[in-house]
Amino acid sequence: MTSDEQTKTWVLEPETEYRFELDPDTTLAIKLIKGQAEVFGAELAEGVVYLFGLECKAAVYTWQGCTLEICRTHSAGRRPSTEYISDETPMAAYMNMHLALEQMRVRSLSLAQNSPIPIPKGSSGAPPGPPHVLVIGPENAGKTTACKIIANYAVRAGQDWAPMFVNVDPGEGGWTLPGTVSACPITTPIPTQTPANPLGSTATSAPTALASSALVPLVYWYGHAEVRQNPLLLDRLIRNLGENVTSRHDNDPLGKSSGIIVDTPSSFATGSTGPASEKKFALIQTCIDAFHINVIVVVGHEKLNVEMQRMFGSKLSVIKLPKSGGVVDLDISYRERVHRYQIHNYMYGTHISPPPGLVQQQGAPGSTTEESEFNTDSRLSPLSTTINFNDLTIYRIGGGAIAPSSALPIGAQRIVSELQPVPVDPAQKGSGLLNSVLALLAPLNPDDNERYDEEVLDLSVVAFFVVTAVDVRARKMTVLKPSPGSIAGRIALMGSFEWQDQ
Amino acid sequence: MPAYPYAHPPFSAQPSDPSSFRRDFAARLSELTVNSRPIIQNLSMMAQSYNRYSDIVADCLQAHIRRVPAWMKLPAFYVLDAISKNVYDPYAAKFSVFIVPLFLEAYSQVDPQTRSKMEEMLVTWRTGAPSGKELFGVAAQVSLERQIWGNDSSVVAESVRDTRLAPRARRRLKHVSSQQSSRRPAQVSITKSQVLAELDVTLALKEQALLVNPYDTLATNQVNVLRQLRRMVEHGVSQEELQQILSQLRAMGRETAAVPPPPPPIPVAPSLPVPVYNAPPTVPALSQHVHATNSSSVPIGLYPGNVSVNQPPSSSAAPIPTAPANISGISSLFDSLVKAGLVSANSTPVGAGMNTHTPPPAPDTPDEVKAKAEQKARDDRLEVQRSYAGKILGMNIRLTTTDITRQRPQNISLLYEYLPVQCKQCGFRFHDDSAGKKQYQDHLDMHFRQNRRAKEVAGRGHSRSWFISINDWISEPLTDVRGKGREVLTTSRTNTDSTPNGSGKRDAELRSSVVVVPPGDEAKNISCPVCKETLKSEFREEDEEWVWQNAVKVKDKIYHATCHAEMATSATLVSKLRADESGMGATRSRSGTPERTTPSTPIRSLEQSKVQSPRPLSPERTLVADALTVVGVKRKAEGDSQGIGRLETLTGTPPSKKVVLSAA
Repeated sequence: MTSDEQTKTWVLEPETEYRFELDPDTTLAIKLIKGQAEVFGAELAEGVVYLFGLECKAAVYTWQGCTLEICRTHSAGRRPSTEYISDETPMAAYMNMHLALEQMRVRSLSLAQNSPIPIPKGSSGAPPGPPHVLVIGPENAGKTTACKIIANYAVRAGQDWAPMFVNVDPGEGGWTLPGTVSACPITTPIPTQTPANPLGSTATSAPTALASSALVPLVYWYGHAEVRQNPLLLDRLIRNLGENVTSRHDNDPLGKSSGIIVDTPSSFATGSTGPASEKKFALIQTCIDAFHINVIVVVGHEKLNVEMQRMFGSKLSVIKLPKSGGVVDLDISYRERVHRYQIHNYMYGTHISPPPGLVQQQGAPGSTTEESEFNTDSRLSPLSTTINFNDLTIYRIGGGAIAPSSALPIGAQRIVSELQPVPVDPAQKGSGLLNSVLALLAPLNPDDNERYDEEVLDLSVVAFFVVTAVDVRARKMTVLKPSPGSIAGRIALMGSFEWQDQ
Repeated sequence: MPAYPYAHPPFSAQPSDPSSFRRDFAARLSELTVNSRPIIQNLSMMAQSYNRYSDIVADCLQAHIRRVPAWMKLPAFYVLDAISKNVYDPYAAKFSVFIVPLFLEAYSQVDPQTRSKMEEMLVTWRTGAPSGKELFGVAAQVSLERQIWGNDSSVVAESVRDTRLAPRARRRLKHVSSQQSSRRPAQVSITKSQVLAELDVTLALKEQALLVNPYDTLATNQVNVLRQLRRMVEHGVSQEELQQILSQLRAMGRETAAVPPPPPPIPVAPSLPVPVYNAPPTVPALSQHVHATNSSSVPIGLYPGNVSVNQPPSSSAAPIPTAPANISGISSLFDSLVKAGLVSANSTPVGAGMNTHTPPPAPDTPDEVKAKAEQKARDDRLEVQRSYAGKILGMNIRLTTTDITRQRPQNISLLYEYLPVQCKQCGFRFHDDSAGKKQYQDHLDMHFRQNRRAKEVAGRGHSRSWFISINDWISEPLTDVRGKGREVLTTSRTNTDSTPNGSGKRDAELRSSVVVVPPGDEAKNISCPVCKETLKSEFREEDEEWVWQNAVKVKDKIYHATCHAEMATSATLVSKLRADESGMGATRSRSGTPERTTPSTPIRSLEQSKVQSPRPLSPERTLVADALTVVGVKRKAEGDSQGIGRLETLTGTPPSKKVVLSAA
């Protein structure tokens, strides 16, 4: 196949979108030739090449029409990945949603600044205060995408908003790894590039042209991909996040007025987290309490919307947003691959090889298309070190795979509670440490009097590392860590994630 | 020996033995009949490369200066100055043996104009050593200054330097120290010329800062005040006043040096030339490879023409990291002068007596200007917020499912036409009012810094940073400058790493450098990775080849030669800032004479200074803080005993660990 055939120009009518679903090992390059276009709310600059890879599934939307130049690779013998143009999108609703949230923001800010603005008639209906939005919905409804679009539009308003994006879906990974819950203020539009960093990537020492690569999240380690593995722990971490977000907003009137957007896993909405019906939406209630939610957005689920209206409609606004037709049903193996991509991305950074056709087009000698020619690229070097068993204190919360309390015989008490930190002895056979992904925690409170038993549960994550080798005889293990800082003397938490460097 | 990719070969012959080196060096030195930058540079490079022949260099220089007629002496002194500042070891020590008689002898022979140039040079020697100390030692400096100006100024300088006291305290100290200098007990006379020389140095420094950052109203004011002062001094003021001005000037210099500036914001729009590196080719900038060992490059520029009094330097030396002017320093100088009656509030110099010329109208004091600007910015911003709020609230949309899903979006233009200024690199949009333009400017600066850093450190390893602690995260908004993009994380960079390849070639030379276009690529548009502008190609008759103008090829990439040099210089700026920060408290010399960077500690302090925050914020610093917190931890709990007690093993961590961590 020649490069001519690989490069194609698409003309998009206003309010349509170009959708693509990439296969593994496929790269897509998009260049905006004319008009205005955005990927999930992040505007594209004209003439700049944007690369997508690692099975990315996304869409370029245009409000006013545009011309795109698209160049792609695919390995020989494979069928090309899917691509098509759709004129049925829920973007109008998302934009209306954004405008309604903006009303809440400006009103909240004007109150905070003691310069109240006369509120025109007819704009009631919204609860007071800045928008604290909880986005829920079934699996594959486009919840994260909806959050992203709303956040991006807020950032693009030119008002210096910094909405707090909270990810409580441990299967998602957010800014870091799967198994975490995290919060991060957004100041520049979140780019979409690969599923490995769905919300942009966090601060690295590598310079990147994207300001959003300097995201500084607050991260807690849950350790599992599924909510049902330890809902109690998740509940506690969500409350921790909420407290810290509230404290931060006390320092930051503009950030506070910008509001909060909380992205949730589908299991919050399906009610599989608790046995009894009154506990069905326990974690949704947790989020509402922790983040002072005043708007619930239900994406693409009629019945859930009705249920939410019934439960919370009296206290807060419940809005239903339509699901985009572009949402792809994802299977478990895809999610597992994405988890692998994410861990690899955390350690090694992202590098997407541009399609060869593109290199031929632009690649005059001296300005090769590699490295920072594409501003989305950042390669990182983790490092491998050997540490003594004694250098590190490792815990597992709840002592490994445990059955939910309800599965125990009636009257039986659990020996290890779900929230109890259980020490892990690397020397013991079957410790499961090899290839395990561990979260390095912030240090314990230096003040003895402030200590408490389960403090480990409330420590935030500073970094992640992977145990790549365990030598029981020498009492040493080899770990792969993202940066040279020492991890000796620290506390680490184990989860149920494993990863092997290929 | 380091490579000099774009330099003309510094010297053609390669002298291998002492006698041929002596012959070669002396021959080149004798060519130095006028102040010629290339010759001075070549000589300095030669001295650097052959520092084993330092005795010969010293001999030749001394003999040359003594032999040549008066009008040729100054250029030779510039050679001496360049060598000792840039290479320092072992030359400074060698020169210090004869510098005092040599300097005085020459001083006595030259004309008044040259004298003032020599005085300026002498002032820079005060802090010319890499450590920020006297270039040729305290003894030589004191002796020279005493004989030129007849006072103990360097002793004073010493005592001032050592303290960070209030100006009053400094004055007291100065008083004490001048009393203590028993050899010349009563006489503490300061000559006009000395004050003028120092004023010029400070003034030039500020003016350079202004060139680097033309939007700095504060610096503009400082320059005005300094010019005013200078006029005043020229007209003649009393001994006491001279002394006061002098001590204030120095105090200001110290403070300026001590206040760590953020990297000077260089206004770069893709379409605009960067003022500094695109300065006209007459720039007397001069850069040289400095360390014989690590060959990092630092600009020097103490060469005539760039500071003349009545004609403010229109061109700067390679950008000097002048601190964005210190408010307290300059305003306290001005205030105290007003109080002392030296300058009346309406800025007529009292001490100037019956002068006929009218001083310019008084500028507002910097504080006022700043406050006004801030107030204005706040008002503007509030106005923008209010008008936006009006627009938004004016929309008829309610937060209900029906409204949101049924309506047509009413105002898409808020995302586009409302914000007409768009960044060409990332697509982010800004208002087109003054505040928006400022933000856009900052935004472009951020891109520029990022691109520059990406080039600077290309190929070196980066890594994911550690997340910051909860407390830092919570208090981040207090220190974060929004809209600028965070200046995140310094890379782990040793001084050697910042080695630029031949930075500091004069602009003209840079511009004349070309890269031959590979056959077949003539029609292609190549853009410079730094400024993102297209390189111009041109057909050269004499070579019958297409070339890219103002271009260099580094690691298979084509850069604008000027951009690349700028990039390299900025790398050294950072290291210079570090050096200044490391507590030397050195006054930056006007000439931008290299102050050798010190390899230890400064990273952390630099970072703090950058953020100017009460709390450490970047992950590295958190890490440091964390490491420190762990130190000394004692675990009270008996229960989960295992391992935690081992935290105490960290208690013995030596302080040096800090450095390692923060450098990580």
